[in-house]
Amino acid sequence: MSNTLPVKDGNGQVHDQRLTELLARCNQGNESAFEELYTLCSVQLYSVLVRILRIEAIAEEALQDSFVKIWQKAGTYTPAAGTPMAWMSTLARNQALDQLRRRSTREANESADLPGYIDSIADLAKPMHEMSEDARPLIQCLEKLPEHARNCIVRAYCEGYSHEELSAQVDTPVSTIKSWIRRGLISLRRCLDELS
Amino acid sequence: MNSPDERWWSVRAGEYVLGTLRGKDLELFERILAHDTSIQAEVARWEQQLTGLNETPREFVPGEHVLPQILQRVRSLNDEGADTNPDSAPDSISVESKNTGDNQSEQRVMKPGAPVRKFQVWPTLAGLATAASLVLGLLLVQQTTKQTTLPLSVDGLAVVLSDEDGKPFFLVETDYGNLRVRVTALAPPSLDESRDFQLWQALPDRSSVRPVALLPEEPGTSRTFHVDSLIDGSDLFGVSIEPVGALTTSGPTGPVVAHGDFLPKRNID
Repeated sequence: MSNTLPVKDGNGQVHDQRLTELLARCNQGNESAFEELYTLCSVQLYSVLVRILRIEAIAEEALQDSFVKIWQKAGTYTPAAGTPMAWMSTLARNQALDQLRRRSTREANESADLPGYIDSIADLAKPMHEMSEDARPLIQCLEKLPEHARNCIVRAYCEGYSHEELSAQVDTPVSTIKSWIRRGLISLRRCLDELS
Repeated sequence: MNSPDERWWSVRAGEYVLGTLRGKDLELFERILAHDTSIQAEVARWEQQLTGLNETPREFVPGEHVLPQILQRVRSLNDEGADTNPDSAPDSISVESKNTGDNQSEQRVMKPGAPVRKFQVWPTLAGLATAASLVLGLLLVQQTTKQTTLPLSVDGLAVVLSDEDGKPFFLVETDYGNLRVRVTALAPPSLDESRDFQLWQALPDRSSVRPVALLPEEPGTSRTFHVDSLIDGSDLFGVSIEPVGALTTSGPTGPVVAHGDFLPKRNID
């Protein structure tokens, strides 16, 4: 593996330029670049998948599918699609959501929170000071939302919950959950536009 | 995102990225997403803005067996000369499931001896078009209006839905002032070569129907038609399957496969 750039910055974030370079080499069929990409990104992507799918064996399958897709689509990545890690996270997340949708309901053992893991919203995302620079506006804007809307949006995104699952969790009608999320998204967009 | 439509679409795109769109809502959104670059851009924007939530506080490490298995799959893809070309859809937008269930529609439409539906049943079917579908349609109106060479003063629209499961088949836009109709195929089922889709418009009292035009079949394509008359106050369109090539004028001879409520555009704005 060749390291032409430092791989991580002071916060442990993988450098975008390095990942962009690796994706470009994957597109040329370079397997060692693919392995390096896996080494640098698999933990973060896998963590996203475990948070949604809950069962590590299922998350590992989804991780495999995600990296095969990354290999296939590496040539289509452009910075316009966001950072390389954001692009790969979206691919992985969509893989997990597709799995959830195909199964329509979670098994009983998937419904329970992972022990000692997701007990509160604070467990779903890093504390603000540990967040990357890019993520801070989002967290600032989320903090301005009413708590119920923020909880629904964060749990839907981070854990893949449907309206119905959120409704059952907070014992509130589905129509109210939808309304909270929609109003929350409008406020979030307005806030993010202002900050940008 | 200033107008109600833009806000509505922004929210819809946000819900899509959150993953809370499911079922028919998801299917309808993905069909339009596959064709509409402005919605693709909105989805990409949400994806980028929400991606900070992927920074998880607790890290999990996949098993050591995972990488070898991935490499094996990648190598077998290469060895088989499998199609490793990426989809034409934008990378971060998941549209893989957009055609789920179409085969069922195809079988239904092409089934020999399918019962001929009469237009009298339409009133009982009317009202199935949801406000969401109509707003989806309105956005499509805006998109197609940008692309057409024939300016159309759109004053009404209808999303023509499958009469059985509510899938969107066509979008109909009317220009009463200039007696024109533009129809965009959203996701109609495949037809036998000897058949065409034909658009009908119900009289206000629903006692009879008038032929309007034969319709395009390829998703995303639009045709604009001059018509002899449009019926002010009519609020219902329907689509039947007719013999290929010529407008049937006496009334539907084949099955009525879709219908849609008409909504004056001013009621949406």
